[in-house]
Amino acid sequence: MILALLLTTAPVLASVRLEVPEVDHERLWRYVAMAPGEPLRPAALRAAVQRLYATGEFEDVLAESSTDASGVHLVLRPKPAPRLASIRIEGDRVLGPDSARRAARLQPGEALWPGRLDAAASQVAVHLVRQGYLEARVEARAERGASRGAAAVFKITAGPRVRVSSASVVGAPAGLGRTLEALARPRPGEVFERERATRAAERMRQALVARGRWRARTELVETYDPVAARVGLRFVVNAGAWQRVEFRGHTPAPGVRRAVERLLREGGPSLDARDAGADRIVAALQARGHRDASAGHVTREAPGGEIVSYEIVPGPVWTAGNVSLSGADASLALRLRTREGAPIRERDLEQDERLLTRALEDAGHFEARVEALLDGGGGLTPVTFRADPGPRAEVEALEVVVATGEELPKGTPRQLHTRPGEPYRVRDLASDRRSLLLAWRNAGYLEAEVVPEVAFDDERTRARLSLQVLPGVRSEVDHIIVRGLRATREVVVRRELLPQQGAPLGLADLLESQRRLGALPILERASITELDGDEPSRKSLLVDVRESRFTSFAYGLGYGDRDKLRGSLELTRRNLFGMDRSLTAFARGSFVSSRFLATYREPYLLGRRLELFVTGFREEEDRESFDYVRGGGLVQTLFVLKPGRTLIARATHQRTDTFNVAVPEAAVDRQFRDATISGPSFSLIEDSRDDALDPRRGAFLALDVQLSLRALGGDPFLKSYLQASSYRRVLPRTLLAASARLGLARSFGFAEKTRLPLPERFFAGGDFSFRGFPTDGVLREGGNGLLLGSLELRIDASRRFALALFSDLGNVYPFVSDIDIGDIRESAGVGLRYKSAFGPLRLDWAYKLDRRPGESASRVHLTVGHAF
Amino acid sequence: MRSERGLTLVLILALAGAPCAAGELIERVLADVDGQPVLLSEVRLYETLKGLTQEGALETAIDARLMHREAGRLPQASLAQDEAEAACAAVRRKAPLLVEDPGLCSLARREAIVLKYVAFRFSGEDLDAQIEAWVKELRAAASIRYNAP
Repeated sequence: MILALLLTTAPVLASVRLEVPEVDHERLWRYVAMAPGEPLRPAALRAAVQRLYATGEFEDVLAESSTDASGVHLVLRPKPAPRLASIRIEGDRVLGPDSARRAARLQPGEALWPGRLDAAASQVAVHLVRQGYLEARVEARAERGASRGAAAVFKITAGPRVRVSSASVVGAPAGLGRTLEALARPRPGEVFERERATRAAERMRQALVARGRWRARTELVETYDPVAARVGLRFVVNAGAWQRVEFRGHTPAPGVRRAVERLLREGGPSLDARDAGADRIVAALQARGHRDASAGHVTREAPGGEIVSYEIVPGPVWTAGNVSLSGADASLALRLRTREGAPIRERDLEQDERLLTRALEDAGHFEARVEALLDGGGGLTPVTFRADPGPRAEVEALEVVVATGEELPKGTPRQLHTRPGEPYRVRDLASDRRSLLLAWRNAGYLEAEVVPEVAFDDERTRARLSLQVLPGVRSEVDHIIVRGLRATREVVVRRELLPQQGAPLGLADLLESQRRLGALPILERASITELDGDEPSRKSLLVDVRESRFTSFAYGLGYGDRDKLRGSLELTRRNLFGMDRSLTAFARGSFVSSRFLATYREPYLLGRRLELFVTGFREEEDRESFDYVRGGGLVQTLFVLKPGRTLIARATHQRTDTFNVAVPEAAVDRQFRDATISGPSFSLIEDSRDDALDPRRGAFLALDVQLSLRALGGDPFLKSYLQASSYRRVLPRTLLAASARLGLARSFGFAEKTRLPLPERFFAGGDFSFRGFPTDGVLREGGNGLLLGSLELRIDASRRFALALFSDLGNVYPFVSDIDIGDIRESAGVGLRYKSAFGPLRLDWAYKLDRRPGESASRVHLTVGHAF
Repeated sequence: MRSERGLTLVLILALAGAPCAAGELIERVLADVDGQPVLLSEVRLYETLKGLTQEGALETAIDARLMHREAGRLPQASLAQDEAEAACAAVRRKAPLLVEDPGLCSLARREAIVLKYVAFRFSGEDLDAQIEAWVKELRAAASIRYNAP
């Protein structure tokens, strides 16, 4: 009876106390989640202890209760973990605390549990052995200090430092003894470091391999004399016979030959390496249409060595004759990679089969099969793609059934891909299943499942589809525990987290939070995991992070004809005030120029996810024809309106003064002319390109508006510039790229119409502009108005090369009022692209279609990157 | 030796925070298994359900933790809703006085997952020896730390 009462009526809490230092109380109290007046429930107490323990700050969390007339008094007493605050060395001080920390890979704040200390001691001992203390012994213990941290104490018995007494090479082939001996390390008299000796043995082996001894082996033999603390080194060499490779029956291309040789050299030459070489030869031949190519290998003796001999049978080249398609729409043949007159490649055939199968499936042939048939034994071979479309079905009905009767969650797509009356496509149904699954999982049903079911009528022409949703348990976020922070404030991590306490725990929120934390420069790593709990419907999240280094330093030295010696220095301090703010200072100087730049970054302006950059700079240079000084500042913030759309707002002040001009003013590059810009500017950018360097689809739109005001010390003008480009595949190997640019500007505050300061005017002509003209060549003095349009066909000729046909048209006008559609310059041209790792290398030849007197007829451009 | 009934009474008093002596310890971390705490209340559940001493129950709880973690990685060992409910109901029948404690069901679910894993992975005679070897292997790979009593 009493027991039943105890179980059904939990005693009420009269007080709850958390015994931690005052400075931590507010932060940790949130994990207790129990308050006076509430019943004391075992599950709540258990969860509170688990949460406090999960912070990683405690060795134990003791919960004690006492009772009086007012109820139960609960005290939570966490016992701090021995977290590393300092390192002390006892015994032989053969290394300093910092070296010991690095050797033991101990992180500040890391808990010094016995297992970790044993591992740390072993790591320090191994480090000492590497330094020549072959008899080193290390013990480690933790000593709790008066403050909250603990000291890791390493007691070191180093023993003598061992030196090399002798180093010899045994078994070197004739004529190579001295070469190998010269590689021996450490030398006699030097401290014995085993890693150096091992590296030396490896270098000897490589030297032998480079001389054709592909099977060479080297072994390091140490003879230790503990009394004298000396070690003798013997590098025992087994050079083996020399090897070389030969090719019979066919000579592979130089690249293939080199690749095969490399495989054999690096592989021993083991059987695997020889087989890999044969595979490489066959693959190269098949890529050129030798479908029946084969390569066998034998190893035969030769005087003093061995020859790995590849017997190559290339077989005939299979060239596609007539390429035909049966059982499917003949127009699909235009999209095939297998072309008449081209070599027949297995991977092309497979890709074509997939492409045709997919086209048939898109039309509702849910069991479509396509097979490539080759009629012949090599040479010019007709290729037939035989399609077996199978039955075709339309969707009669699609039903989404929720097993538990719950409503569809927010985020469920309004329109599924599968629709009644349309062809039944397995791919669409799979995509709809994924969409539904994601919607449910994002709504907190983390274990939801969606089961598709298909029922055909007797003729298999109509399909009734259903997607049955098994939601499972909906999970809510119970608590979020942050662990691992030292200098960073907790709010910096919490503001990146989308899951909120009490809200559903959605998968997308979890992934996005993980991504955001991973992007924080102040964190070396971050993970979000669920904490084990009793209730599947309430999950606590543990955010475990490790801070990275907050200070980075970079420098550079260079030499130039004019600069002579040139040096640069960059210092970045991240996580200022524990708030992920950063300050970067960069300085570069030489005997004729200097540049200084400082940038402050605030990631959350006014408590919102809004980046702010404040930059100040000054540069000056003594040039041969003129000198200049430029200085100013920039305040910039960036709003991500939605993925792919960004608004940038800036306030700029930049002044350029040029003096000691020893050439006509026109000869001074326009970017160095006297000008002052001072005022606000905005940029709206929308970018849906798949690749910024080499886009294949998508569009790019950028609108810039700049206002400069005399009241702010600037030259008065208003300038706007719009550029738009789009990329679309029009044929399987052909891309159409289109671009339009419009610039409009005016000065104000002058009695008569005035152009903008020279550096701010619009120009056209050059590699990335109007290609029929040299750089800025359309109107040398620039203007306040710009019209420019370009069309370009980019045709893939091979995996690496592409051809281009293009046309540019437009003009630069002195003033906006001069813009005249009738006054448009035109050019057209052809180009070649090579796809490199740095973007496309571009060679363009452009011809003026409306050449004027004194102008050259054409221009050639060689550069990196597309024109737009 | 205390009877199971006596143990149950002690456990219930502790878990429910019933009137007890001043400063009575009612929860703490007894051990750490790869960063996860093994709590006093969990160990007491094992004491009650399996009639073990605290030391024995602690080792059982550690083994259970390791086995569940390994078993949870196998998709075939995951529990359907009805299986989870059945496991919960069974343990409630076994310990009717603890039905209010959600930890009981949690423990039952974990045990059910381990049983499914064992049924999937092990077969033949001498099943106990196979499981024992498995647990030994799990313990060898784990970092286990005990807090002082």
